[in-house]
Amino acid sequence: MNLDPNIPEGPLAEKWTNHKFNIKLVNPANKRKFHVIVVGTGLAGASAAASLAELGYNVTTFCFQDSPRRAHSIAAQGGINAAKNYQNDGDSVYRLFYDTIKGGDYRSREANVYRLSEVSVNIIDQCVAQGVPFAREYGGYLANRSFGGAQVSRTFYARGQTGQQLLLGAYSALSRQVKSGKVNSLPRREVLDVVLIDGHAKGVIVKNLLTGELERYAGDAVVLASGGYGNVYFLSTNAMNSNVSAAWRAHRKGAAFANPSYVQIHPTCIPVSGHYQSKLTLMSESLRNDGRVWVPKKQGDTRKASEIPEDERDYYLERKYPSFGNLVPRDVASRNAKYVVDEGRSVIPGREAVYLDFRDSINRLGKDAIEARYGNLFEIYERIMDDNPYEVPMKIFPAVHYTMGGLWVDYNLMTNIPGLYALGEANFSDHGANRLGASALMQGLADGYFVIPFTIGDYLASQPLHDHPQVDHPAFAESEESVKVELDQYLSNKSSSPKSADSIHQRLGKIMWNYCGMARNKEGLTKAKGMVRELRQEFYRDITVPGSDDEFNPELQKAWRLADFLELGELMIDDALQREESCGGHFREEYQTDNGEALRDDENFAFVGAWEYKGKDQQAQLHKKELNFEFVELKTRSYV
Amino acid sequence: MNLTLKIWRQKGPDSKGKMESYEMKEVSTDMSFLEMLDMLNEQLIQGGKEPVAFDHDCREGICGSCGMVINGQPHGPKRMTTTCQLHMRSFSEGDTIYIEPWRAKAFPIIKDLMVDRTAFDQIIESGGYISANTGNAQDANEIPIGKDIANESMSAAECIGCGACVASCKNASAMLFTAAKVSHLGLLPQGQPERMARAQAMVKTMDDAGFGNCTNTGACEVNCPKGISISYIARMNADFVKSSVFSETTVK
Amino acid sequence: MPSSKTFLSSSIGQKLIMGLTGLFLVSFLVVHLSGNLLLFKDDGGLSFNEYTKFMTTNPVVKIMEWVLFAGFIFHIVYAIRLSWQNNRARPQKYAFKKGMGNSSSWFSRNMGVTGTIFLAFLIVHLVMFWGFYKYGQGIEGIPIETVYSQSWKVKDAHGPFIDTQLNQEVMIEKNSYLDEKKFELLKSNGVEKVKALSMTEVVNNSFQRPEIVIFYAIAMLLLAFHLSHGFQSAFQTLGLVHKKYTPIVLTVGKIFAVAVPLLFAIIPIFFYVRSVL
Ligand SMILES: Cc1cc2nc3c(=O)[nH]c(=O)nc-3n(C[C@H](O)[C@H](O)[C@H](O)COP(=O)(O)OP(=O)(O)OC[C@H]3O[C@@H](n4cnc5c(N)ncnc54)[C@H](O)[C@@H]3O)c2cc1C
Ligand code: HEM
Ligand code: HEM
Ligand code: SF4
Ligand code: F3S
Ligand code: FES
Repeated sequence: MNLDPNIPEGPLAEKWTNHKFNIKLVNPANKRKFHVIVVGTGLAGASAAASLAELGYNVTTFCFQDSPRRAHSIAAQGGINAAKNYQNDGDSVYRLFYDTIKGGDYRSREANVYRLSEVSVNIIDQCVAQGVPFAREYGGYLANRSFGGAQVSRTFYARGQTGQQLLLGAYSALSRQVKSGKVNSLPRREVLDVVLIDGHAKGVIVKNLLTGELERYAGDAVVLASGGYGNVYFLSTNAMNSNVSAAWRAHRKGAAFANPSYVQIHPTCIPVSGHYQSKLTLMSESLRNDGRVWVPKKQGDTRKASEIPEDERDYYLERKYPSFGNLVPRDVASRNAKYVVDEGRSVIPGREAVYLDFRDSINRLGKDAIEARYGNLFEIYERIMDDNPYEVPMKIFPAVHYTMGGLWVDYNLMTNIPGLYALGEANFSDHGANRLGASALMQGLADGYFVIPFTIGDYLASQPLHDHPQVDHPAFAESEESVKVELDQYLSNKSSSPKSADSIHQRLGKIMWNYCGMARNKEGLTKAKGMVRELRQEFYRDITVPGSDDEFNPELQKAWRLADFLELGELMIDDALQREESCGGHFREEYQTDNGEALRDDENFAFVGAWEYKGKDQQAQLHKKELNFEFVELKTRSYV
Repeated sequence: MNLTLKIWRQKGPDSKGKMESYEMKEVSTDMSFLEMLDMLNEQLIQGGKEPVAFDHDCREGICGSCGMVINGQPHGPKRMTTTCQLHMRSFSEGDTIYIEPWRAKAFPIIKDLMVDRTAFDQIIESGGYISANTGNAQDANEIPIGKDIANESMSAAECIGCGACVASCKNASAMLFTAAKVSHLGLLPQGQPERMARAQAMVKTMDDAGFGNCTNTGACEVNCPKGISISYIARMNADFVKSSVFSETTVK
Repeated sequence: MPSSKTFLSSSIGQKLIMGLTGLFLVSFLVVHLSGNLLLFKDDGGLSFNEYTKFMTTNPVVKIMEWVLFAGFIFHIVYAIRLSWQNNRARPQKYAFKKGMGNSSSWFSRNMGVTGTIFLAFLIVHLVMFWGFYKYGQGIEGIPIETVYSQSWKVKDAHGPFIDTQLNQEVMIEKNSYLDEKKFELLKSNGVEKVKALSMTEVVNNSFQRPEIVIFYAIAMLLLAFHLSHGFQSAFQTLGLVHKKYTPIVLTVGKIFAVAVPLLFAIIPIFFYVRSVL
């Protein structure tokens, strides 16, 4: 497997500039002879497709929603980072770079992260030019807020809907190209396979979700921007239909999947309320600025919050981390919530939740001040939980939020399959073992607006100008056939105990949550691996899909997505097992300090774990790609 | 809670549909409306019947996928709430709930409660953007934008493109959706160069798509899950007239 | 210039015509009402007669009349066009119909209905008064003459209305309001008198009939409905929305929608009640 990261030579700050100069270019007249397939219209996909089309390439985009504008990126709330230093508080490209490397617990590539920080400033310029209505100060200049993991204020935001506004910006740029005829936007399509011709990615097999037809699309390069895989847990803050299939099919075709076990769990989500629950809702992290997290000291205390006296409350974050208190990083906050609930101190009997209490801040600052800060969040909470957080403490619990792992890519964002690129949350590149708040949007747009438009040229310049891949190539027929066989199998499956995709998915989610979630250990992981394998057998035996193949059939959709999640689940467990250290979102209980902090092992685990697919039900193979830290010094995180 | 559901079932775009009745038992008040439908679907699948098709994705009220007319009101009885954010506690024991798709000529039905909202994409494609190629941009702080203007623009930009405005309008008019985008961009300095052309082009595309004409009934504003104000419609009216009658711009 | 064809057939262009004609009609209402209020002037109907004379004979007003009718016609034609298009925009209606009431007012949804019924009123009204005056073909059985003395003082008259004015002396200028065709000189008992068409009398007589009064009252109610949405709606259509001034428009609109039809309605009721008393 060729996993050369292709990091350009030279000093950190000059790598990207040098690289842009050194890579091959496609001359403007020739660009229109090439056709690029972009899978996904989230921040990464939409920005890439628009920018490529502006350059002159012909682009076809796919998304499974009914419009590109509905991609999961739309849901991001908090903001987007950029090293603008508009606040004059000492921010710089280098500081953002450093914070990101450190936040990622030293498990990401320096060169990639530096480039990300470097282009972050251009992202804001570009978005403002497009008309993204970022928050402003009275003087008319851009406002910033601060976010976890940083000591500077560098987060740009548009109310609580930053992702929406950025995505609508990218979507409008995309729409403009659709109008100009450079982009063919095909919604309600799901990519089910990547077609390789002579080892190069040259097309996709797509299911038209409305008619059920399988369609073939050929291109000179394929860009996957299909998002993250958090939904392997069934319940997550991801959109219901987010899935790993496009990436996973590429993985099956030979693309390495890197660091699958790095999952970010967000500490402040609305807790699961029942079996029928379909998804979890995130409450902005900013709530922790004024809310105090606590549980009763006593186990199984069923009194109402207001009836529990002060000295019987355990403000466990303030107790354990006196200097950071309720503002410890996401993973620390999440893990501690799990611990207290595991001790039987959950605030909802039989379920998992802790209190986030605003009583003291309301007393101190007044209800109006709190309402001004969090009014809309309180409203969301009340709508879902039917509880008034001004009067009773919020109940929250961590939930799966973001996946740092993904398709392995080199500096050019190309996977190890030539011509196949991965952008945004779908790749593994920039966040190491943990992502800083407000950095995913930044990365998606950096990849799409500022990286891929240059780097794809390097590949396309070496491709034939006149001999373009055609859909009648046997590789397409072969791919299509294998997809068809698989779908038929689900549709025709008859079982004595029929099961719906959701019911199996729910069980997969539970296994992953319990054993490969906030805290993992060898024993649990080993057990979980067996359980996932068994569940996979059960899936193939009992899955039942109503309806047919020639109509809109969401149950069929769920089945093929679940098949991929069931394979991915095992790979995540493999990766968590092999990584015998704790870092970022990956916490192995065996590897912690005396006071319960993550214990990294830089000696043995400062590498990217890139996995090679070896066939259905075969053990995947790990490739370790060493991470070299030339510019930063590895330090232990400490928040005590 | 026990409920009777009357749901529009329609196999495909060209089939004839009809309302069908379903009895639901033990619906929890904590469920969201879509979770209640998930439950119905699980039962239908179990019974070998076809589940009810509906669009949904984020279930957080932001993607704009979901949407159905519940007892005659798009997104149901609760203000500023999408269908996915509506909870069953808004209903009571024994209720009969009518669930219908968005109805508009410009939104043909695909299946059951799913409609085709491509017309919205076309409206945006015809001018809902600022032509700024990647790389064109100057420094973001070079154009100060007053807080009020930025806010006003943001309030329009919040539109999630769900189509409830069309569904609730007695004329199936898409004015609120279109006006939101025209105003979002038209309020900003960056949006000025194309302001005249944009208003003409987007209104034309909207008209051609077969939406009705606004008669200022204001139902859209009430049912819009983002509370987009119809004052943006007035703003677009003014822009359109300015553009068509007084400016020298003509969009074909 | 835009191709006026596309502009006028665009949704907003059509609405613009509705709004402009609507506001124009509103302004007519003001003029007409202030004229009609002269009926209450205690001068034996003189001012009102003068006013109607002016309204039906003055050349500028005559032109304005045609503009007014054009306004009505455009308003109505476009109302029909819009309603037709709007109906087609939703070929399949909702099964559950009651929901609409939660989000918009009945008035706003039924401008076509209130407008059409009002149109019926308008036709009757025109035939009754304006057509009558103009072309002399009134509704039968309504006496239309009032007799003034040539000394330009009201000396003699018949009919309950004029009677009450007997003690008053009102100066009128010869020929200032009397249409050649519509008055004649009478001589009786050696006193010269003018017998002239009096719209005051026409109005007075019309409103002796309860069914007409009721019809007018209902029509005015519908006008109130129509205006209660229409007034502010026109401003919205014209894009005249402003954070500071729109609240004023809304208030004025509400007052207007109540006050104007009410004042109109008081006229027939007043005449009727007086005749009964
Ligand atoms: C609730 C929430 C809040 C967040 N808040 C923030 C924040 O404040 N700041 C921040 O930086 N990050 C935030 N994130 C993370 C961030 O939103 C995501 O990581 C990011 O938007 C991912 O963008 P993307 O373009 O990679 O993928 P997505 O936006 O997930 O887009 C995936 C696209 O791929 C398409 N697709 C997928 N599979 C297929 C297929 N098989 N065939 C065809 N199309 C396919 C989909 O249709 C979609 O268009 C948040 C995430 C969540 C869940
Ligand atoms: C004669 C029969 C009439 C009919 C059939 C009629 C019909 C309508 C209809 C359907 C509308 C709604 C369309 C819209 O809002 O765009 C409307 C609006 C309006 N009408 Fe009428 N109308 C009539 C008479 C009048 C009269 C006599 C007046 C005033 C004196 C009037 C004033 C208005 C106003 C102000 C509007 C609002 C315009 C706007 O919304 O832009 N109408 N009319
Ligand atoms: C209820 C009280 C009303 C009375 C007593 C009344 C009386 C009259 C009279 C006497 C005339 C003929 C002479 C004239 O022009 O003044 C007339 C004409 C007319 N009326 Fe009325 N009217 C009333 C209400 C209305 C209303 C509500 C409308 C609605 C728009 C209206 C519209 C017209 C029109 C269009 C004409 C003919 C044009 C003109 O001459 O100005 N009237 N009315
Ligand atoms: S304006 Fe409101 S109702 Fe209409 S599409 Fe936008 S968000 Fe939905
Ligand atoms: S409901 Fe319809 S009539 Fe106009 S104000 Fe809204 S578009
Ligand atoms: S599912 Fe996204 S808005 Fe309802």
